[in-house]
Amino acid sequence: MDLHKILREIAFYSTGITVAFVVAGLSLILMGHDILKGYYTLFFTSFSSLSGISLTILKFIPLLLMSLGFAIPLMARKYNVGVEGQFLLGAIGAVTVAFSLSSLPGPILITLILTGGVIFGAAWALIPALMLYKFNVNEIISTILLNFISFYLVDYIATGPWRDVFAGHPMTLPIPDQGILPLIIQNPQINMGFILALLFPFLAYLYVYRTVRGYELRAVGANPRASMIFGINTNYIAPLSLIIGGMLSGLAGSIEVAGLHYRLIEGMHSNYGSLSILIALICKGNPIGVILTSFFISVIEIGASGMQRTMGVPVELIFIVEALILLFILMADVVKARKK
Amino acid sequence: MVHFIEMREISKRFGDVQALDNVSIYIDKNEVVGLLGENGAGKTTLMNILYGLYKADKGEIFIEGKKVKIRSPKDALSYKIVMVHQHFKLIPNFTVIENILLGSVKGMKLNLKTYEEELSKISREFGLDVDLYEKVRELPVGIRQRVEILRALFRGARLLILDEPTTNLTPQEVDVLLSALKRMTKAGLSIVFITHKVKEAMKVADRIIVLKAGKLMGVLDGALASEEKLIELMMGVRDVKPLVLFSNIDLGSLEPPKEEVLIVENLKVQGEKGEIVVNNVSFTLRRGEILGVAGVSGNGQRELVEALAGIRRPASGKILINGIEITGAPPAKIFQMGVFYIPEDRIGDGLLPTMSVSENVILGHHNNPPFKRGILMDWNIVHRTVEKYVKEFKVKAQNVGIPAGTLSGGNIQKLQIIRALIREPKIILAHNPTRGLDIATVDMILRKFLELRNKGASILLISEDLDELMSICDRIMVMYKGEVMGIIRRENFDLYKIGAMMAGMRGAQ
Amino acid sequence: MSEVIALMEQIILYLKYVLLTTVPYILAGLGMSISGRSGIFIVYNEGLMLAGASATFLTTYLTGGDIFLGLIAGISIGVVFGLIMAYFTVTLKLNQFVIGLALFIMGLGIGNLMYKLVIGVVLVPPRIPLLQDVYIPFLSDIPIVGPVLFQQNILFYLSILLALIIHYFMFKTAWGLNFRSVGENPKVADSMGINVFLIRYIATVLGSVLIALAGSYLPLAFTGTYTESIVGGRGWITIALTLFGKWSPLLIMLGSMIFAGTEAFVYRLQVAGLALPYQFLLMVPFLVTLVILIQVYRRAEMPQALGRPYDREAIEE
Repeated sequence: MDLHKILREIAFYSTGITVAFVVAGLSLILMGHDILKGYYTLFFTSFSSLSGISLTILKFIPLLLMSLGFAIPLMARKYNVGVEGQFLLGAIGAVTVAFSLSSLPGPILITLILTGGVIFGAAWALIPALMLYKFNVNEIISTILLNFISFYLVDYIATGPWRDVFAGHPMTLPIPDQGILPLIIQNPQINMGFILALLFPFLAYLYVYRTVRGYELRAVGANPRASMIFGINTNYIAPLSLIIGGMLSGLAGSIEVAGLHYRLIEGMHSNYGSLSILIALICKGNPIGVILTSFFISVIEIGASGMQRTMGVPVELIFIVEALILLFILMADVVKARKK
Repeated sequence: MVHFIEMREISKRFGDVQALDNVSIYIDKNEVVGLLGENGAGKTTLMNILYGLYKADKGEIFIEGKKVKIRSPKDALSYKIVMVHQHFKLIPNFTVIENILLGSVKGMKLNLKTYEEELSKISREFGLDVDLYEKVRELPVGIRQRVEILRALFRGARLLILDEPTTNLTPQEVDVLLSALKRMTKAGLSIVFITHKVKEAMKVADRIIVLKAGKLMGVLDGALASEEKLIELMMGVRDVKPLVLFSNIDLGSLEPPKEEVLIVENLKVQGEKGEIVVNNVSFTLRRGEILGVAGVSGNGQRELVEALAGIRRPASGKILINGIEITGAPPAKIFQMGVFYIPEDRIGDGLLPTMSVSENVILGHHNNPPFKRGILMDWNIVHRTVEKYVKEFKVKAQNVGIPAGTLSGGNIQKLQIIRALIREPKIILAHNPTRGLDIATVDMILRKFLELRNKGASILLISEDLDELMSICDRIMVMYKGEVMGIIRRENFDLYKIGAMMAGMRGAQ
Repeated sequence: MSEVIALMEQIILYLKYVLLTTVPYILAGLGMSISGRSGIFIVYNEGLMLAGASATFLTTYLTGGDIFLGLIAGISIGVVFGLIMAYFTVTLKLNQFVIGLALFIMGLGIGNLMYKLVIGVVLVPPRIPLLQDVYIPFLSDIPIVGPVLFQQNILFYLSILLALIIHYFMFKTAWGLNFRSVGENPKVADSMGINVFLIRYIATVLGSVLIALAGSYLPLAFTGTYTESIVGGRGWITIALTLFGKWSPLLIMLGSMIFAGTEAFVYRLQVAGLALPYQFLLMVPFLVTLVILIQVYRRAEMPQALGRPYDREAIEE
């Protein structure tokens, strides 16, 4: 990969991203807002206060992990749209462990909480994985259906035996104190989950591009039949990738519980699912790109809620812009190929 | 003089390759024009431009003296130009009559009866007998060609372009087709006959146009052209004797018979719909031998080789490699035993388009040292090994890291061959390995096969090219409708005898 | 005797409700089958239906109850989405699933954005009038069958009619033959002079219009309001139903009715106060859909070129 090529790629993609933000700016003008204030709030809310930084990092962690959760199956040409449901099951797993084993000491409890998240997330991905393996069921639909089922599961648990009766919104009681992830930085508040999350893009990169399994994963994504003909056990690989996706998303869910909310809350999945899908598609699954893009998206998401708070601009505008970024980047790819 | 159709100064570039360079030709009424050239010469590209599937970068087309713009097959069809491609343009799920009417009927009612009569008339006139209400996917290859030609005639074709029409025909069927074509020209049609087989062009064409690497090399009168002159124009070489295909190689005898490395006993294999397509096949392959499998495509060869490679589970029977039974074993196991497969469908079965050249070649070997160390791949060794072969086979790629999907068909095929050579093969299962390759590369591959044979490897060579089979095989086995019609030894090779077996007549051993 | 009459009334109400809820599934399924038969696999149903619902609701609300204009707004959204999808997947030849996911997200965003901009945050959610039942003369007087089948709203009749018309066009006309060939094998269709690009554009736009209409129906048929979750997963379910119906209008119609029957049954159970926690009842439609999907694999039959872009100059092997 020579420098000229990299610069050319950056140029094309930047153009795409810029156009998306120009569209946003025009919309702001149409809505009668101050465009400069809009851009400033959008990009700098994250950095303008300690809580801004903290919130950005807190959003960054689940986005990073869930994007990887979508990106790895994507290498095998599978669309794990169920990252959202797997995230929620991870959260369910976290509170289940936290409340059931609440007498255990801190470090052990935390480890088990996170492990519980991984296992529950993997289990939720196991269902579509099996359906894919045995019945060749399209994973896009099966995982999405499970997402909806997971929403109801969360609602049930949040209004079940662990529910917090004094809260106005369905949520559980807080988990025991020793189950809470320790902070690594006090001001701004950043918890251990941050370090943990940052590990995974590198692990993912190693796995996908350097191991034998990773090669087989990519080969199956490139041509499943050819992979089968030359000895790769394709029946396992695609379902396996879904389960890995579930593990990563489940971990995100448990970190969200143990590091941010300290409870299971109905609706805690926010828009993480859609954002993670966008991020993974924008980066085309490249694990390192995922770090940068997740951070960028986190920044503008915090900026978006800042815009809604201080200017009354609905957050959905930025949501649309994020989808536009994906579309324009894809368009840039086509233009790039034509101008060779 | 005004010609029926004229193409002037046509040029077309695909990426780095100049597919056509300033080619000018003409076609007159009532003649068969042979468009001759080896694979990659540009013959199909030129006709695709005439048919509107490709757009020329430069050049013009004239019909009866008037300049025309052909932007899509719709335009070509309006000028009554019809093309029958090598890969039939038929929809398997539709019936014959639906396929024939596709695109030419508009509007609401679909009253098939009204067309039935007209089609039967054409069918009888030219001897193209076919069941109009059969679904195309049920038809064998030879009949499908009839459907294509029937469709062309139904559309009132004045120019019929046939792209390598004899690829899937037995020698006898070829004769039948060629005489049918002569009848059609007498009835008023013009025909362009694209081929890479010199003898065929000489047999059928009134004029022969020769292309080489996108350039027009010459136009010869069909009756007066000599084989040597045509070969010289087509390949640019004066003396074809050194080429394996044309020399008479002495393989030495196979006595004393060496040990059997592959034994197939009473093998029965099912096709997609559960019907038996390989019916009670038995044969052996010995060490240091090249066994050819002849037969028109679609007679069970694909299912046979897929069963041997472990991709398709046989219904019954036994397969033994080096004495060990491997019937129904998965591809990985068979691969481990040193049996390497070169699939016919290089793209669907053998290409990872988005991955690099190295990653493509290593497919199947990746789980073996030295290419892997523990759970990690050793990409350095992979690249170095692949680079060596890429150089040797003159694969046209800037480096081994570029996506393999950007390579041309011929180069992709070279990768399939390299993949079978990267580790010492004991048995190679090759299905049409030289299809679509230029003569120099075909020669290189055949030489490589001979080299491997002499070192003790065994090769099962399935090919539709009888010349190729007869040039390097020790024995040839002929398949017809899933059965072995006969196995002929080298000293008894005879083109028409094999052809008869390909058409279903049993022969002697 | 009066209990029998009461039971009959219950059954009639139930069946009527089933057909009422079938409509969005049929419309969206028809939309998918049209575009799918031309080779384009639409997956943004959920997002487009929300955008359509939003557009229709807001237009109806702002015009003081003009449902017709509201529907026009929904149709327009469908056209826009269809054109964008066609441009990216047919002209630019990009991956249909990726573009579909992007448009799904955009649909969600646009739907909610429009609502927030126009209505904003209010204490009492605004309402629009519902679709009225149209009583077909004579037929609606038939006992039992009459009220169920012939006292429905106009979109119900439209959806059934469309299913029949589309089926006829697709399978009984020459035009339909040419159309289907584009989804089976575009290379063959192109060689026969059929305009693959034009047909795919038209199919995608028409399909998206129907999907958007399915969304438009939602605020008009049930509560007269709009919420973020008004589509509630139906968009994804219609994808499963289309697969189950083998991309054929009549089978899709049948499958939609059966599914709606299940959904309505669960709703009745909820209303009747079943002991099971309500969340599990709400899960039932989705579980049923999962089971449907497993059945689909046994009968997998779809246009052969579905989901793949067509490039005329691509190397042929």
